[in-house]
Amino acid sequence: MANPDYHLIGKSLPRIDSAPKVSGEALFTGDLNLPRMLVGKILRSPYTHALIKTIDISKAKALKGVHAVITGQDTAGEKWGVFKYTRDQQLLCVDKVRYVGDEVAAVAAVDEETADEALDLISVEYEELPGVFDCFSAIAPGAPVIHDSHPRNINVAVKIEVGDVEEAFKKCSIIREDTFAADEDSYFMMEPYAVVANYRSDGSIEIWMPNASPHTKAKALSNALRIPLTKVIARKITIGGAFGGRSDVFPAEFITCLLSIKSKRPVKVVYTREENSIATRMGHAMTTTIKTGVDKEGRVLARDIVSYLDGGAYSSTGPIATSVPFLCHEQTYRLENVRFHGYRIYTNKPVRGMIRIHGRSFACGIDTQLDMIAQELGIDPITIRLKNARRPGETTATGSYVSSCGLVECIEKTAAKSDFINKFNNKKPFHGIGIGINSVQTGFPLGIRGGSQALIKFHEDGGATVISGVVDNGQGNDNMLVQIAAEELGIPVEEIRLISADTEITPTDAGSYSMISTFGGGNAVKRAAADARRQIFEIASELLEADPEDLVAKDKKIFVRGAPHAGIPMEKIIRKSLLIGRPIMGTGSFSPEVDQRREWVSNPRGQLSQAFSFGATVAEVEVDPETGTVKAHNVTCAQDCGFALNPMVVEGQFQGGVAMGGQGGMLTEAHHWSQGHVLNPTMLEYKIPIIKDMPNIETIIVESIDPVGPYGAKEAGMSIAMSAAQAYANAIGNALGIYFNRFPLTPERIFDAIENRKSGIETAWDLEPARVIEFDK
Amino acid sequence: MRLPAFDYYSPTSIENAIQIKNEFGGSAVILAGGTDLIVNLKNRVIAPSVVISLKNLRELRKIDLAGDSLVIGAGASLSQVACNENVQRHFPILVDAIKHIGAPSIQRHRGSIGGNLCLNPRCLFYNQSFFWRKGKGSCLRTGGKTCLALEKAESCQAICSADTAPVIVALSGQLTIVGRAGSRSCSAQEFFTGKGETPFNLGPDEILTEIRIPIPWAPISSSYKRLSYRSAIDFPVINAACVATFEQEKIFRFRLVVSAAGPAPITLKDLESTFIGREPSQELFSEAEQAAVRAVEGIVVDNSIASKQYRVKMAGVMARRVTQSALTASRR
Ligand SMILES: Cc1cc2nc3c(=O)[nH]c(=O)nc-3n(C[C@H](O)[C@H](O)[C@H](O)COP(=O)(O)OP(=O)(O)OC[C@H]3O[C@@H](n4cnc5c(N)ncnc54)[C@H](O)[C@@H]3O)c2cc1C
Repeated sequence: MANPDYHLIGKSLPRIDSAPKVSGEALFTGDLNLPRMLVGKILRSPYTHALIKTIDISKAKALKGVHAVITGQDTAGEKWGVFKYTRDQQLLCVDKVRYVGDEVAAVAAVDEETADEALDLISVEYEELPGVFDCFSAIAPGAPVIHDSHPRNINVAVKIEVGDVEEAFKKCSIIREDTFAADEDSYFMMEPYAVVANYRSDGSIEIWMPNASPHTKAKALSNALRIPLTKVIARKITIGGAFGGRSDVFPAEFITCLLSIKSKRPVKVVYTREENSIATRMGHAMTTTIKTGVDKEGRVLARDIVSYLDGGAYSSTGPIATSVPFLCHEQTYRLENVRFHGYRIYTNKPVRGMIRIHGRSFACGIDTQLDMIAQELGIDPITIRLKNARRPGETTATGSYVSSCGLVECIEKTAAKSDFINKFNNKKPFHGIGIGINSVQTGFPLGIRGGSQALIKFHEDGGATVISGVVDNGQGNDNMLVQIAAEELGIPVEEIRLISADTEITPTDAGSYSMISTFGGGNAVKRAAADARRQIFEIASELLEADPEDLVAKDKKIFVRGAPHAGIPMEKIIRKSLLIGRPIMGTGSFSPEVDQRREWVSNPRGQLSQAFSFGATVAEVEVDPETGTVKAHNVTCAQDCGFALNPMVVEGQFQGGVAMGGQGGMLTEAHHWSQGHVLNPTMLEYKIPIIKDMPNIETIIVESIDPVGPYGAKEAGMSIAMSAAQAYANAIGNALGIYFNRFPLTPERIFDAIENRKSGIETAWDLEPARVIEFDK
Repeated sequence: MRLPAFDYYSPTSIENAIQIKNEFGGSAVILAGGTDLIVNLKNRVIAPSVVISLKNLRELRKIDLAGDSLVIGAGASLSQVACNENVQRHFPILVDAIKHIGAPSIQRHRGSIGGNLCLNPRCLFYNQSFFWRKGKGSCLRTGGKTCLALEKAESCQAICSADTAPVIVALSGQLTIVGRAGSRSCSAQEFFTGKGETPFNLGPDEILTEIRIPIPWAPISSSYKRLSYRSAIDFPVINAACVATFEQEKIFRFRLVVSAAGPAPITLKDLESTFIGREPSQELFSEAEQAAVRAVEGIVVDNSIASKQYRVKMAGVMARRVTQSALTASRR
């Protein structure tokens, strides 16, 4: 919605990073070349679970061209974990390896061939241990224990209980319990992971890598390397995608730094596609059992949910990952009586982190089951969602106040545009329509202090440089910051430079995860720009002999409202400010108001995030019943993004969300395994969709104008990614009259469900339910 | 990932190429477009000491009518074949198959038809990095003692994944193979041995030089179909080709080939006699389906992203669909 008061905000301007990326001018970490730089390589465990008996590096060290060889002995057993209580990953394994890919040793050499040869010369003696590869076997009594500190391999247990669940079930007219499961998924960012580290004689170290928060990385590295934070400098570099998979800290960063320190030369490690898959992060496999009770109208009165998340070998963002599927759900739906038990379970598989459609089995389970209940009640999917959907001014089950919420509008608009009810009631054979709805946070505490701060300085030609800690890992944050500054300062986008995501120069920022960047970093830049504008107006008001209140900044001029012809050029004011010794420098900061006492495990209540985005997606599909293949024809998606700062970018995020959440996430994207070895670590056999697979996508921007977000903006695209998965699942179910409960819906699974069709309103497969785990005292 | 070290030759005549191939035998490999070979070299699934490039052998890229056959040089690129007028006129099924291969920019412009027929059979336990295979142990084809896909297998069960393979077999193609002893001809069907370790009927001194497809004397009906999970850049889960000729509305000649099941394309021989003289019918199409399922049942193993069970059933579906489509299509 174009706001007449804004001249740049709300317009579809091309992103500032598009041209350099398209032309190849943008440089990624793998492109970096420093003088004397060495090639680093990591030796990884070929076993799923084994004790390290001995490591002999003498031959590797003796090889000509090798400058450093490191093992766990060089790290003092230093461990990483997002929280103090989850530090369980040794940065180089000392005594034990826990998955295929675990880091065991590393080398730095003059070239890749030498580094590879050196790796071959390291001999490691292992004693293989039996492994566990799924949640149910991992928690079984007597199963091999992966971390001695965690009996039954339970890494994280989250319990949330609100209202009186048992009592509420007694009042329900329909109660269903169903189990849903989904396999591991992966990000497949276009840029494989890479790190460059440069240790210098003054004891400082520079580091470049794709990341979601340079400040968090620097802090973790400072702790692990025991180098003062001031001397650990994470630099800005173009990043080729993150999707949640770059949020964490990885051993490779630490290893590359160690290699650089040891060799006293810059070192570059570039991951292969396979390493990117197994040794960064993956999405969790998950089983969720959902018991829901509704009244005669279809209002949900009670819900009891148990989830098992296959966390792989280490904690990573464990407590967050365990909670977020539930939290998205409690934001989306009104719930007065609800219980959630979430268990993250260790297995001997790669480490799992957050992913754009984290918790497929949870979200799709909730929405599939809702459709089942609707069918039992004889109402349609739209009606039952409208009965339960979140409204503004309400408070979620765990106590987050929702100030802005356009969920109802999203549901109504997608339903109307897709002609949902008509198509649902007049079904063509093997054609289906389905809807999914979801919500995400705009920022939650990740153990990082402070919000975001920004600075703006000016050049004598009237241009400006914005300095912000926000990192852009593909979503368009750089452009967002510049577009906001341009709006506030009345300077064209092209005349604003941006310095961001460099811990030596830029102020802190929480990081570009949990959808906080626009809300946090955007607000900080907006405030910094407003601060600068105030200073500019002060000087201009003296020159124009006008009240600062009446001034307008536009087209690089300052003028009295209504008199643009009599404006003063920006450069004149900047020069004047220097002459009179009042140089202009804008500063701004923003910290979201959340309940700081809230903690993922120990205290899951209070304001989680200051704002929430909401989305609805409708998918229309056609299934080939003989092969189980699905053709998605149309997808209609609407999201309450608060306010679209740049509709073109927002729509791009929606489309990406449909590709990743729906087309890929629900149809083909899954890892296949053989005893803990991933069978499809690369793009050929891990089937991310390509452009030819994509349906026609209709995007609808819903704007609830959040009271705190910059110009009312919240976040763009995440609730589409999530709801698209749900919509696809329901649409395929609708096409076949089958309620699916194992995701993704590969042709093979769909075919199997058709062949073994059940009667009645039942899920396609009988899966082992996730149950509350009783701990032995 | 780096290429392993090897000696590289780019001979300028076929004789010279054969000479080099003969000298180094099994430790020399042919490089055509490299779209399969380079990946395999990087993964170290093959470790030749010599690579012989065909890039300077112009004569291998010719496509000509010669007598009653269309002769396609083994080095012709897939896009060159698909765009050739004679191919389009006589064998639209081949054009169709090529359109399914990989992506236009790499696999079809660089990839050659010879390289496609000689595509290294694929297996989930084989087409992996050196690191990956270290963890799982070697398989039959990489020097180990057991097949990782099928414990009791006596030979490698990898999958013939080339799109053109079933088509060339269905079209009764003849392959010209040149070696130390001169040139010989081999039917496309016999070219595939069915053994994953030594999938082709090619001596250590031999290279494939041409594919000869007989021009049909009567209009043929044909169809190629493949099932895959992605609309491009994907190997077939299963594929099938059917070629038939008619005489007065009755089937006169019929050939159905199912592939991407085991190491070789599978020709459903029995149908070639039982279908003669019959008219297309639903019953006949289901017979093709059942025959295909029976034929692949003992061959498909769990070595692809899709399960064995599913691939077996899909072999039937693809076989029925190509049969129906070929037998009911307009004839050329
Ligand atoms: C991402 C990706 C997707 C792909 N998708 C498909 C697909 O959908 N369908 C498909 O069929 N293929 C696919 N391929 C495989 C490959 O690209 C094609 O099969 C291509 O036709 C191979 O031809 P080439 O000339 O590149 O072969 P090369 O790589 O040069 O050679 C392949 C093999 O054949 C041997 N060889 C080549 N020419 C001769 C000759 N004249 N005589 C003897 N031996 C010879 C080589 O030694 C080598 O072992 C794909 C590959 C990739 C990487």
